Amino acid sequence: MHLDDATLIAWCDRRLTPARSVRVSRHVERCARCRTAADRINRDFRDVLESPPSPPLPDLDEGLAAVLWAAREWQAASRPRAALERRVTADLETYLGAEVAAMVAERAAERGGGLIATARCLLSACLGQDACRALLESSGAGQETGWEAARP
Amino acid sequence: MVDAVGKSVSPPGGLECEVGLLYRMHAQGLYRYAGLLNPDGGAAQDALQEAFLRYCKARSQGRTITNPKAWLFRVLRNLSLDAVKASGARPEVALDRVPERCARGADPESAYHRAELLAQARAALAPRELECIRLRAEGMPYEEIAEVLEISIGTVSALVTRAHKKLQGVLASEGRTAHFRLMPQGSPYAP
Repeated sequence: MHLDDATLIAWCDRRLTPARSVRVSRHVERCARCRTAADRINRDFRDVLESPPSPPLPDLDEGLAAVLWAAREWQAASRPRAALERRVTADLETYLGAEVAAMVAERAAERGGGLIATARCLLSACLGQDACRALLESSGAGQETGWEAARP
Repeated sequence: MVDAVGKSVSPPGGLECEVGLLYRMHAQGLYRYAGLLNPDGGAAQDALQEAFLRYCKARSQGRTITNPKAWLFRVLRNLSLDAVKASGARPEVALDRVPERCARGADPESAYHRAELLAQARAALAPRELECIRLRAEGMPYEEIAEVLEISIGTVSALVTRAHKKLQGVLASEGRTAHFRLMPQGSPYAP
């Protein structure tokens, strides 16, 4: 009796129940043909992945250094922005209520558009452009919203 | 590390150590996987860097990532597929690059033939089947493969089995066809 390929794959990939796995292991230990079959399965998988061969990553150290550098840049750039966003959120809470502030924050997180841009978009629709601009400018976020560029 | 109050604090540069360790452990495998999804080597490297940068951002914003390896592979996959979609390229390996290296066995004819068959087998595999066996070769258990591909464990198992069946179907002709290839054209013994 020999094992079929599906069983051998499941055995290689540790998908069998412990009891079954022990039985299969015992069989494979004794049976040269099933041992060869299991080796062939893994060899075929490996060879098909390497046909064509996958090139190695050019430079590991350089790549890591680039990631860490980009992360530091991002952290430095996001620090003042994070402070500004906290200030805008606090002002929204004060003037429009915690519910509105939370709604703006949630929407910004979901859409990924940035808190201030989201606030600008939502609030100009319900408060009108002028009131919205005045509010954001008083929080120090006038330039962040693009009002400056929009002025004639 | 734990401070006097018992609150957990990360050591200075803790995130960089963490990312450095993950990079050394998984960058090579991630790059191989990205190469499978997007044959453009430059794009694969970009996707790799971006996945790690996103990891840094998520961690420095205080997010907990329970399985960093699966997280990185999943993010890399989505980035690569987006890049392929944006460039309009096909996420399949070009067949003209195929049997360039085939050192297995002493007989160059049969080694060449095996490489040719492997290329055929590879072309016969569906992208997800190929992804499954790539991730399997990176030492991932089915639970992690399922997490990366966002499918069920049962589907992973079915994909691996089906990939193997297809592979067997193509490679079964290995010895036989190699023999036919050695015969001159127009031989009365040719099939």
